[in-house]
This record gives sequence, structure tokens and C-alpha cells, in this order.
Amino acid sequence: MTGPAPAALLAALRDDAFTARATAWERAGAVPRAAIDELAALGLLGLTVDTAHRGSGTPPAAVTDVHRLVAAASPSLHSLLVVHAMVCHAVRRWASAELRDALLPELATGRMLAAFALTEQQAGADTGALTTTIDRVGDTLRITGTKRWLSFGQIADAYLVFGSTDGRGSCALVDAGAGVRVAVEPVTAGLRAARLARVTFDGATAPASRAVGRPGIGIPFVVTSCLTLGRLYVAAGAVGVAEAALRLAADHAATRAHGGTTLGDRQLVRGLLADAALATDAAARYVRHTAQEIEDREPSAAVTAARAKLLASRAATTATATASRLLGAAGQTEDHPLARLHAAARVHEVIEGPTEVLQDIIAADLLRGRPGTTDRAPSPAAPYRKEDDHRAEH
Amino acid sequence: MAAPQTTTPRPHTPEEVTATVRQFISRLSGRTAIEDDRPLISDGVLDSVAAVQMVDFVERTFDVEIADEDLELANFDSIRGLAGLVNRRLAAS
Repeated sequence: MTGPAPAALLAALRDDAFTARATAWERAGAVPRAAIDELAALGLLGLTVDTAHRGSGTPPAAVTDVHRLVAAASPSLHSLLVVHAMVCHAVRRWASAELRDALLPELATGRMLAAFALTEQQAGADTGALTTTIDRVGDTLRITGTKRWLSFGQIADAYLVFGSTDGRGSCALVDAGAGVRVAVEPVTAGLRAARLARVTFDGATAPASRAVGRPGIGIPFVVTSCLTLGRLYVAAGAVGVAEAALRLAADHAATRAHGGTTLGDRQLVRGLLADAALATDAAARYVRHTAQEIEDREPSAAVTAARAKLLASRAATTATATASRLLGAAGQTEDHPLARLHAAARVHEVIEGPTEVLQDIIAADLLRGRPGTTDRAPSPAAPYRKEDDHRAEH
Repeated sequence: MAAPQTTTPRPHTPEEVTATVRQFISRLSGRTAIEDDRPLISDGVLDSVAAVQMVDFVERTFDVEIADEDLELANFDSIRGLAGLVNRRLAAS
């Protein structure tokens, strides 16, 4: 991977006009396709794709900077960046060379918007419980099942669908269209404009060449590596949210006069600010460290990404709570940027693995192999089979 | 011992590959003694995070590319399977 993020893209994201547009999207409850296309033309969706496939080949650390900028203004658009990058990664890493060459340029340029179709009503992080089937009949895949809360599922051109083929976990890229029914999910605080959809595949078909990874091995490998990247980017977004909240808090504390002094002169306020600043800075540094581990393909990257997501989502919660306390009533109104950041922080604690799932992964890594502990580590995403056997050996 | 037949030395002998893989799996699983044929994934010795780590480790350590057709469980489910995959990839490169 070489090259920084495209300069024109960074300039557009740093422009105040971008923040204003993001506010309008949140109010309207939808990021419009036209706005996505416009930013895609500047390279927003091709950051993680190599230059040979019409992306910018931007290194992960520089990609996380873009995620910070986007998430600070629009948590909803940020969720598109995360899912789109996960789909690009799945195709780049696990699809056949033909599929890679055919689809990566489409994804990188935004001609094809892709959603990550993993979650079901009763199956989120536990892919062993997925009920969607991807049956193979000759050279055709037939997909049946319902996926929930897909970011940008309402306007996606294709879906990376996870399910099972002959009882084994599998994955395929399925186009929108015949056999694919899209319904609008109720508006979700924090992702108001993310075009969340419930998508039902009712015997939808795709060529067998659209399979990503092989049945039986496709799910754990594809999901796990996608989630590692997703966690890095959610963590980066959470840092962006934390930084934005911290700026609001510090600006307010420095200027709000109260009884002859400013809020920022008060020791208790300074304590709140210091804690929020430290949490935010620690998360920012950890995110960069994680990006480097992923780029270097360190074996520890998956667990490090889980740690980064946990740390950063907590930093966002801390910083938004601090800003909320300092700004008082002014920050509680629906239209205030803080309300959006606050809701985004709550979302960040849930998506790509809730806090408790991440704690489990991190602790399992810590305890693995120590006498007296259960040997089996929990899967972050995908047990290879139902976890009802007895694997504890120590 | 016979002299090497080729002028370009192979980067890793099959024995070295197996030893390196064994060491990595041992570190990954936190166990010191795992039989070369012990199922790693289907027996729950390693989880799915570890499975992905194996692919990254192999590609980085031996400078080989794991292709789509290599992603069969048998290639990752034991020390012998993984070492065999690496050796086949090295021989093909």
C-alpha cells in the first residue's frame, strides 16, 4: 500500500461545508446517493483498494485519519465507509482473481455500493446461528434468508451475504434486483441517515463465481478478517467522535463565564477535561498502532483491533459525556452537534462487536494456554460449530 | 548427506517449515506439545481469529501466497496440513 489519502478528498472533508451537509443529512434521515457519488469521485470509497483496481492504495493508518474526519461530522456516512471497506477487503482478500479484477474497480469508484449482510434477527456476532442459506445448483447460487439493520442496505447495488451451504458457512456477493426485497428499518439514533434496511433474499440467484471463500471455511476466515478491519475503522470513527466532543467541551469551558471565572478555571471541570483528553489521545494512538499491525500483518492484529475498538468506543463515551455535562442544556437540543456525537458513541459501543464480546476476545487471548482456564477461546464472530462440546482440557 | 542439487538454495527445507509452523501453532494455542496430526480448528484448539492469523503468518513468514483454492479446512486443521500447504506453495514458486 502506498500513497496518502487523495488531497482533494481531505480538503472536501475538512471544509465546513461538509459538516453543514452532514447536518442536513441527519435532519433529513438519509445520506443521498448523489452526495455519496460526489465524494466517491474524490476517492472516498477506494481508499483501501489498490491503484491497479482504481483505488488509491492508501495505507491503513492514513485511512483511519479519513474515518476520523468523516465520523466527527457524519456517523451515518462513516458507517458506509466501514461496511464498504469490509466488502472491498473480503473481495480483495478472499475472492477469486477474476472476481477481484471485475468488482474491485466498481467498488473503488462507487459505481457499486455494497452492504455487509451478516446480521440476522437472532444472529449477530454468532455466525453459527445464521439461518440464511446459499444453495448451489450447478453454476448458480440460490440465496434465501433475511438480514437486518444493513447500513446503506436501502440503496446498495450488491450485498455480501453470509449463510450456509450444505450446513457449512459460506459467503457470496449478491446483486440487488430480482428476488431481493428491501424494507426500511426504523430510524436508529446515532445512525439516522445510514439508510438501514431489512433485506430479504427470496430465492435470489447469483453465478457460482460470486462465491467469496469456500463453504466451510468461507465464513470464519472472511468474517473474522473483515471484522478485524471493521473494528479498526469503527475505533477510528469513535476517536473522531471523541475528538469532536472534546473540542466542544474545551471551547465551552474556555469561554463560558460563571460567577466571575470561566468553567475551565474550576478544578473539577479541569479534571473532567483531563480525563477525557487522555482517554481520547490514548485511543487515537492505539488506533494508529493497530493500523500498523494490520498493515504489517502481525498475527496479533485481530486481538489488537478488538482492544482498539473497546478503548476508542469508551473514549467516545467518556468525551461525549464530559461535553454533555459541561455544555448543559445547550448541548441537549436535538439539533446540536453534541446530540449526534453522543448517539454515535452509543452506536460505537455496539457495532462490530459489543463491548462484552470484545472483552471476551481480549481476555481469552490473555488466558489462552494458562493452566486452570478453559482452553477454548470464544470466536469473535464465527464458531466453526455449535459450542456445545467439551473442549476444556486442562 | 548429498549436496544440494540446485544452485539457488531453497529458503526453507520441509523440516524447517514444519518446525517453524509447529512453533507458531504452539505460541498461538499456548500449548507446548501438539501432535502434528491433531485437528486444530475442528477440535477447538484454535479459534477463528487464530485461523486467520495462520494465513497471515504463513504468507508473511514464507513469502508465499495462499490462493482461493488453498482455503480448504484440511490445509489449516493440523500442523502437518499447514506445513504441507507451505511446502507445496514453496515448490510451486
